[in-house]
Amino acid sequence: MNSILFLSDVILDPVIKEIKQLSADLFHIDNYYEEDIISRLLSIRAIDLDRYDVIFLHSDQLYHQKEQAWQKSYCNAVLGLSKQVTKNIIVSNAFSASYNAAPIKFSFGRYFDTLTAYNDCFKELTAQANVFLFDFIGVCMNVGLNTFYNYNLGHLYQMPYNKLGIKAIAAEFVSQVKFLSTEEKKVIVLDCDNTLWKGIVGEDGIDGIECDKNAEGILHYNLQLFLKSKKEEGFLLCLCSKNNEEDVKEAFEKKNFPLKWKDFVVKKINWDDKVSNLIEISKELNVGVDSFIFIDDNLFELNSINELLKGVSCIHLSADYNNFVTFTQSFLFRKKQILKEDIEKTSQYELEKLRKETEREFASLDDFIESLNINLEIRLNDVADFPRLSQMTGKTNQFNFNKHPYNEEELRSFIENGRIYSLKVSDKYGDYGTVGLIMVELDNQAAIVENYLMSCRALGKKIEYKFYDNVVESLLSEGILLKEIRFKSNDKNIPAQTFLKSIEYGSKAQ
Amino acid sequence: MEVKLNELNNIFSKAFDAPTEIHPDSVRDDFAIWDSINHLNLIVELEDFYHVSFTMDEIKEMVSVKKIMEILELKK
Repeated sequence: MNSILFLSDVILDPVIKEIKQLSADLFHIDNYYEEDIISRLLSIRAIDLDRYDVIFLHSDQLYHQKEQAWQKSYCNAVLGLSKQVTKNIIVSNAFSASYNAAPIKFSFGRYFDTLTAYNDCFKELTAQANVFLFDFIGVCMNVGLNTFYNYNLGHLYQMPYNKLGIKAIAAEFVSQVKFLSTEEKKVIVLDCDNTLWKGIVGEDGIDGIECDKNAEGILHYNLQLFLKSKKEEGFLLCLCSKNNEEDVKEAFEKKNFPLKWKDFVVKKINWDDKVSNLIEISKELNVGVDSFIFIDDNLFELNSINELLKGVSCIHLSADYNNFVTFTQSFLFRKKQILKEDIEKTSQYELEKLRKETEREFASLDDFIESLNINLEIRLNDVADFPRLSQMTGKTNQFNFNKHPYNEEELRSFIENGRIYSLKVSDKYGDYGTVGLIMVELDNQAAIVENYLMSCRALGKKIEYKFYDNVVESLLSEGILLKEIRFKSNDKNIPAQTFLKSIEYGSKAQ
Repeated sequence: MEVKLNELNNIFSKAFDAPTEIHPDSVRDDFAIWDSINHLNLIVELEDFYHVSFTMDEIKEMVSVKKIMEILELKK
């Protein structure tokens, strides 16, 4: 269960009542109202927050008519708190508007002038790894400001929202906390006909399908633009379509779509059922289907995936443009943060495919590995790479000794009594980025492996053995013996279990 | 506006998050649960259900079923 602390300068009891109904008491919430929220923030000690997983901060500056200078101090107070504690902080981006707005001639509008200044404060704040933004402004805009606020209630009870506003805040909050406490999606699988374009390529022909800025094809055109930006954020795109592969390939070649044929890392274009195809894609990518989003216009396909493949998030692409806009805003398509490794993800998988193709030309796996000229770069306590290492502890499933997510702060405190070895790999095809992590706890002259994880794209090349041996040997050279490996089995870390069985743990360690 | 007692009864139960039985002559003091947070919840639910907005004075006056009905009936 998530234990959450609410700290707000308006009364949020009705919001919390709504959250409890929505989430069936999934969370425990302690709720504090403090009009002078800055002083309260400055007086919080880390120890006060020990029993909470998440801290939610909300200051309604529009309702309180706060000045810009106040907003700045508020952001600084939140910044101070975020540096002091390791807990995740969700801070609402509530904004202010001034009564004495500039004349229309000089102004972007009452709200936007102050927003611009506020935005800079927020950029600094959300650069902290443990700070997440709650899009209060987005929620307000979706409901409409005049429907959202209720100043009569506000000035009597310090609770300035109407029922619709209360419901919208609660719904967004529940989705966000669920999103933060589960794993983000990694793969988007797409149907072609009437999804990526309007029409059926096998029947209507290349000239009969539409995907352009004209009214007929605009939804599909914009869906492709949306997917293109998701690809750039690190999602992997795949095709799964009942079609002749030549027809689809020709469509991509001849039409000037925003997405290109090579943007899709796996393409399953055949007449088999989509359930088997999705399982195939999952195997090829080494990513579980619970990290999949599946978009199709066909309800039969969506229902069968829904029933037979647990964890796949299915999205129905209807002809309703409003429906499209709603799902693009969903948390399904959000990343918690975006790092260099995410941006390069598609090209990483392309390199991996190239490697697999050459693998077939070699007589043995060892010959193949030999030919790759793999280069390992092991670093000790590389603090600058902690954002990536922290992300790996949350996202790696298969080769993970102990599925425990660490945030950056926790990694930093770990190295006070331990060591974090991280691994960067490159070979003749290119750079893998940071792919491995071994956490070693030190107890006098003995070492305990607290955690070992390796990104799945590096597996299968014996890299996991080389890295491990290197670390053990380097410890030995300092006279430190390995006395224990901590390991927690779960139904996903089979590759790690296999590794553990196969190493002659003991021979090198003692 | 016509206000039905059973409608009001449902709104009270929803606002207080507990089955609540009201009568035409019920007053705030009859219900221990009708504290200030629940008064706030009640106003939120009434405004949402009847699509009305109460002034601060009205909100303060609405401390009996009779008064609530009277104020609601005055709104159109």
